[in-house]
Amino acid sequence: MAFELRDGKRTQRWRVEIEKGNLTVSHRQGSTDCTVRTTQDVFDGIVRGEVNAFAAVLRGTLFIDGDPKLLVNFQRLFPSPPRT
Amino acid sequence: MSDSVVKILDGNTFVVSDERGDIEASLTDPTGLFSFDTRFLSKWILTVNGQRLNPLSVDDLQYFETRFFLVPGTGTVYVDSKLSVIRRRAVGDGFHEQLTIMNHDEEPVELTIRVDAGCDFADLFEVKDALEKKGTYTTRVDQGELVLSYERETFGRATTISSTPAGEIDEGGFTFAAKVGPHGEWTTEFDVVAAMLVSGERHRRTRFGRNGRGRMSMRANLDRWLASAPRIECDWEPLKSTYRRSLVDLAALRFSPPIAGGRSLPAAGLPWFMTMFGRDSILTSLQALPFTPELAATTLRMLGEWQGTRVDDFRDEDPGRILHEMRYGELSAFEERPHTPYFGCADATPLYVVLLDEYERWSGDRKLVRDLEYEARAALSWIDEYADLQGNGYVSYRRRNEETGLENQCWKDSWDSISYRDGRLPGFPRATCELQGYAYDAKVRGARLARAIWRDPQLAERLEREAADLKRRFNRDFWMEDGEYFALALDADGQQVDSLSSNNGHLLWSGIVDKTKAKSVVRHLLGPRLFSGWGVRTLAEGEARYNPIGYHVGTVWPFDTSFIAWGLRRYGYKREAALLADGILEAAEFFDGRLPEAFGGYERSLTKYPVQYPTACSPQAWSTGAPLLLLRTMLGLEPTGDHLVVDPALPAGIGHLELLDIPGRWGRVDAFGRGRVDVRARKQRRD
Repeated sequence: MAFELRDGKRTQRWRVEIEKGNLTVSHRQGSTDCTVRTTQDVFDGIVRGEVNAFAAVLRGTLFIDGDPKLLVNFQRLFPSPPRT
Repeated sequence: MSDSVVKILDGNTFVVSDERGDIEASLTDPTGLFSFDTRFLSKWILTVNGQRLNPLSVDDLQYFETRFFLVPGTGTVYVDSKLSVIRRRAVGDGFHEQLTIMNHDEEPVELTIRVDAGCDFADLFEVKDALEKKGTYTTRVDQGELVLSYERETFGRATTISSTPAGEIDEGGFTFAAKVGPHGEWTTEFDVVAAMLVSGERHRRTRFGRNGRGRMSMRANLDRWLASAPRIECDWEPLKSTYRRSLVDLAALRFSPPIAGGRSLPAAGLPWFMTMFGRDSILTSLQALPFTPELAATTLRMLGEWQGTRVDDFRDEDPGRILHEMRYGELSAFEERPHTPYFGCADATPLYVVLLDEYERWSGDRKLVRDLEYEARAALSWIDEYADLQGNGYVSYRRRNEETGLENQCWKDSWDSISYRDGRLPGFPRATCELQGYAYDAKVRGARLARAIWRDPQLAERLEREAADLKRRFNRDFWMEDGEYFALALDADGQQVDSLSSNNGHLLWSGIVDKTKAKSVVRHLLGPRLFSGWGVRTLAEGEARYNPIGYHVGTVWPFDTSFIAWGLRRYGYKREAALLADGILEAAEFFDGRLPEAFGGYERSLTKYPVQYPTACSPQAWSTGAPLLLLRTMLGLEPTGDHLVVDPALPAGIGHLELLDIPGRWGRVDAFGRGRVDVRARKQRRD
């Protein structure tokens, strides 16, 4: 999966590879099954469990190119919302 | 829904209009063009020379396509028939409408044709609950298109309307000045496209849905669907048409979630429930297994993808829990409603395991069972780790989202559905009886899968031990000695909620009932307090809250009765199962083969026909599935090893019944049943 995270005028590009449970994060380029475009804020919210990624898609703050199933799977990695 | 409402649909895009084809929606009224839980058109009114039109007839061509025949002039007895108007409408990414006006006169006519258009972009939840909007509306005319849009922060939805040939467009609609020659005709075509606005890239509109799948391919798709289902032969004509109606409606209710890769599962029902529901999608898939097994496979995969992974009180989510409902509208987008997805139901999780096992028994698809091993294990763990809220070894529910969560997390989910005999409502948590049956069945079936496919005999033994223990305790704690039936629930103090209800039939289906107790349970189910003559009442006559037109407290739900018939077969009560099948299938005849969600619990001999519940959804997936499951129970279809066992018991009055080309692990097989009574007996009885 590729992540393009916008923070003001800067955009950071990350690549997350998941293979048999091993997770690698890098800045490498190359083809991916799914590209996620969003802001750094929304992404941080997802990682903290505060933002629901699917609601963010419906709201128009997160965009997916490629297989949307991977975003659903990716969200599984993150913790419960702090309010719980 | 009144009879004058016309509905066409494709997936979760649908149009509800009046008999003229017009849409004039108020905020609380479910008419309009809807897609992904948002209304994309709330006004669509045709006038000719300033006059509204009169409906002559509506011709439902397909579930996604209809034709309205109209003439000018309203409110008078005399109709000027020198003009006819035909609107032909088909659903796609929005809808396509062909408008044709024919002049039957010797003289040419000059006409002003006007279509008024507008949209409130209401979330389906807002329509249900009459809520106010928070965003802003824009209307503009742009390169021959009328663009209606709604934005709230980054959330944007738009409807684009165009016509060929182009008319004159203003912000309120389209006007055409037409001159139609003697015996001539004039025509135009409208395209109404529902889209999500991509913020900052307004010119690029992302279409939802099926990317312009044409009407021809939809027709071909329906033909393929019907051709691949088993064929029926029967000497009772209405059963054949009910069967066909069920297959077509099930095709209509197919829904492709965005992550399903084009595969479909059953949505719950029109108009409010065109989305994925854990319970409804599972139960409908179970009913349809002998006919369209691919629905079960997609349901299992999709619900597995969305299985709960964490504790989230807002969504009533737990690890391993199967979702209740998924929504795509504005309120879900802003997390003002918990439906992304919402998990508040206590039965879908055990039923998930039940479906997985039943699916494998029919299809022999071991691969799917291996692929979903993790999900099935997580579902089984949920039963013990998260569903036993009272620590008494029973599944119970209490919502953690007190604002917008569901109070009753069983299929009878209305506020007053669970009551004591005297009408009092128990506190929470509530452990309704059928949940224990489902949990038992999930453990028994999970044990089979663990042994046969996951190669984990230890898990199998543990599940079998737990199932046997649950069954023993259940038959002790829920059994009502005085009434000789199972209590509706245990309350927060572990006391019996003592009403007599249809839930007893689900217990037979699950297999949790001791053989020695089955006889009296059956006596109640077919007895005068529960059996109306058409089907089994949700709550027995004589209970304080019994009301023959109360949603879950006295109406008959065809799906409920169909599972009860399955339960009766499971315990060997063939004749009784056939009696229930007969009642529901005869009721279907009164609804032209399309059973509503529920109908009144009035005694059959009193009303002579089934009285439809006032606001029932139709078509409703599990009502559509009821005749399918009843065909299974009448023929006694049961996969055993690599074979399909057929053990028919037909209602008096069906002479012969054949189901041909039943798909499964055996390839395709035929099933035959012969009745005991001459068909003429039915005719005499019905007169």
